[in-house]
Amino acid sequence: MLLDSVRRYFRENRPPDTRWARFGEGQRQPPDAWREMAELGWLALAVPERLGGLEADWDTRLAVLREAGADGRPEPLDVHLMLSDLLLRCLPQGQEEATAAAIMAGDMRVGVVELRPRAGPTGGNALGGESGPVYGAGASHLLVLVHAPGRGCRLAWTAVEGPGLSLQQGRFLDGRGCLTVRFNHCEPRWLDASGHHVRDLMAAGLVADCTGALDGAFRQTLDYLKQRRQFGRPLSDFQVVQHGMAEVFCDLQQAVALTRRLAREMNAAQGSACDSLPAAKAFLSRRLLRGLGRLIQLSGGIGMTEEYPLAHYYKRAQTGAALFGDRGEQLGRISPVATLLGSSGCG
Amino acid sequence: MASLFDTSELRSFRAEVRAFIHEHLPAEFAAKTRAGLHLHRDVVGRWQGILNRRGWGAPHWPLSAGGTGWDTYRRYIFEEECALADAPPGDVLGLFLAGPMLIAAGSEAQRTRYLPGILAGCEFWCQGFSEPNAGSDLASLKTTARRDGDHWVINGQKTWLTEGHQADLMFCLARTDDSVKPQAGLSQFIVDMKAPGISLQPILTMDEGHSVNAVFLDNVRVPGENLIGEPNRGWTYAKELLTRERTNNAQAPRTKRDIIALQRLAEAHPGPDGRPLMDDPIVRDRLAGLTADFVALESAVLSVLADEMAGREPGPEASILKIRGSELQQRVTETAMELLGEAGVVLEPGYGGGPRDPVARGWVERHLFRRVVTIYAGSNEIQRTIIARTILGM
Ligand SMILES: Cc1cc2nc3c(=O)[nH]c(=O)nc-3n(C[C@H](O)[C@H](O)[C@H](O)COP(=O)(O)OP(=O)(O)OC[C@H]3O[C@@H](n4cnc5c(N)ncnc54)[C@H](O)[C@@H]3O)c2cc1C
Repeated sequence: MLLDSVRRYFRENRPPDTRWARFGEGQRQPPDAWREMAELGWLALAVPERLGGLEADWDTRLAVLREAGADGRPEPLDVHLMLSDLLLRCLPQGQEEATAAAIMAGDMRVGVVELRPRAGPTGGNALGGESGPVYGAGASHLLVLVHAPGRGCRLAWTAVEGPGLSLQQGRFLDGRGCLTVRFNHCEPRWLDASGHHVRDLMAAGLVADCTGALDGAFRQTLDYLKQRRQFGRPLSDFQVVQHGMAEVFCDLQQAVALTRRLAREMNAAQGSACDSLPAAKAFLSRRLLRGLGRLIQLSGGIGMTEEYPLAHYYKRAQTGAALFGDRGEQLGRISPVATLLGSSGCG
Repeated sequence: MASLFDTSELRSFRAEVRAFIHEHLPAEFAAKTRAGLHLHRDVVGRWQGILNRRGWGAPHWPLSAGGTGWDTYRRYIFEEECALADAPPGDVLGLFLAGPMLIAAGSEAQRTRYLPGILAGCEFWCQGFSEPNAGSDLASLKTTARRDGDHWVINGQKTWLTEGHQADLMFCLARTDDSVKPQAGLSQFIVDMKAPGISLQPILTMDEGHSVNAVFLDNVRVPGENLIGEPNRGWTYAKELLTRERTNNAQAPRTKRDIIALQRLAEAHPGPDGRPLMDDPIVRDRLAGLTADFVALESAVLSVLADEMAGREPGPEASILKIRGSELQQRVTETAMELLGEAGVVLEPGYGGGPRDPVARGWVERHLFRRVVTIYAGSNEIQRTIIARTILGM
């Protein structure tokens, strides 16, 4: 039901072609979309029932994110669907309800940003230095993952408009908006949760999103190959092309299965990111990106152009691969025996 | 590979080339070459002019047509020194495609009229082969050229013209006889890009750059003397030209330069733990693997070049260079993207503004645009078919 309505909404509201046709003007979020998503109840999916939310399970959340990826949506649904409940849990009791209401109404928009040791806290509890990119275009509030040598990764919370922050506009490779932040004696609220855990949740969201991107790209390519004729036959008649598509289909099916497994493991662990995450994120960075590259190859020159969807999917997956733990980092977390026997201790 | 070129003659040749480049290559050209993909013709043309004045405008052309008479190794050393110094690459369309085709099949009058412009870097060419419905199946192209008195009249649509918007001239493949089998009825023409009836439409590619164009030809009148070679022999000239293009597509010296730059990047760029990426044995292993594959590619390029110098035109083996060279180019920039991590996915706010972090500039654009190297100049799938059919007899 929910997924049908998600698909319908995406189909009827600024489908990708219309956005990508004007990509040169920026992959901006349509002005009303976030409020419409709030009205449809999507922003309540990760809010606990006791705060008026829908408290959806992880299967549902990751399935919605796959659809968002398949549609190349510019709105940061993943941040909200992956993190709202965790954020609410960490806030002092008095603030929970108001924050939950603001999130569900679409009035509070959360972004996630990492602050590396080079920048680091300036001493005491204030933040200083230049951040990485803020994931979550249009954010009004930031979850800051503060990496400090020897102290793990702590989690801080601040309003974007607050004192001690200056912002610089940028874009991600796929055109979605991103900010970089310079913190200058910014005094955030420190939250009682692990920044590593937040990173893993974001990484799991990206696996779902990029699986969706591959899915969208795959369907587009399959249609195209059946229509495009060369040498008097549809391209889909050529065995080389068939095998190429079959290979990518294997990657796609594996990515879908990995996403489902992540969801099941997260349901079982009550939202802890799970044993399979490093493998899933590493898979995204290698097989999934390679699959998208292959789809461009099989489509020929048109796959390279800005007006055609494939390049946008490719760039979305490239972005997803680089954020919240790239391949090298994820592979570094995999110890074969521990991973295979299910106690890698991630999250 | 130093040892391969390690004779006193070649050492002094290399020193001479290096000194010349060092003295004459404007720093701003090198910076533009490093940072960008699609260089403006002024940059390419001015560097070409400088080389040409030294007599080095087209080392791979026959001496009689303006070449240098260098042997394989010297040519390769020259290309390598240009690449390592980030000199603007020579204009492929004029120097490697139009020029050699005119030398092989053009009339004396055409050679006299067009070769000097290519050598001097003041006239630029584009290649009008592909059409919307004739990509891999090039011979099915629909553009027609019909005789009208002492002119030809060309009608149709071409697409994917690299640098068409910067070109003065196009070599255009058009159908002159539709009563014979497709390949047999094609001819090649020299078309002035300013001729009435020509219009261009830009095509933006995924690197946020503009280098390709669709071109519409509406009753474009071309003087009879602009037919290249004989009528209905255009396919033969095209095939020879594409073979030359493939040899050049291996881009070995530029790939060598990229692998070196990749190591510099890994030495300078810190990983998540703050230490240089090059300290990571996995990174070192990957760069060593790319280097080993490069050495294999370079060996194959040198052997084809040696054949060429011995007077044999490259045959289907050029397909091997195209496949391996293009795949390696992609792997090099894929590795760069992995090394860059977040720095590779954050761009300046305006379209086409490129990466925010200076360390990523050039790499990201090249990475994206290089999806094309396995598609153009005859896709790698088509190259594999050529190898299977013509070399392996399958
Ligand atoms: C950036 C760019 C620059 C270019 N510059 C120029 C230029 O300057 N001048 C010019 O004339 N052209 C140019 N081209 C065109 C280029 O040569 C074509 O894109 C190429 O020949 C492939 O044709 P296509 O894009 O129509 O793909 P298609 O022919 O539609 O092929 C799509 C896919 O199907 C595969 N395929 C097709 N037939 C077969 C088969 N029989 N068996 C197995 N697989 C098959 C192909 O390998 C490819 O993977 C350029 C293209 C690009 C993208």
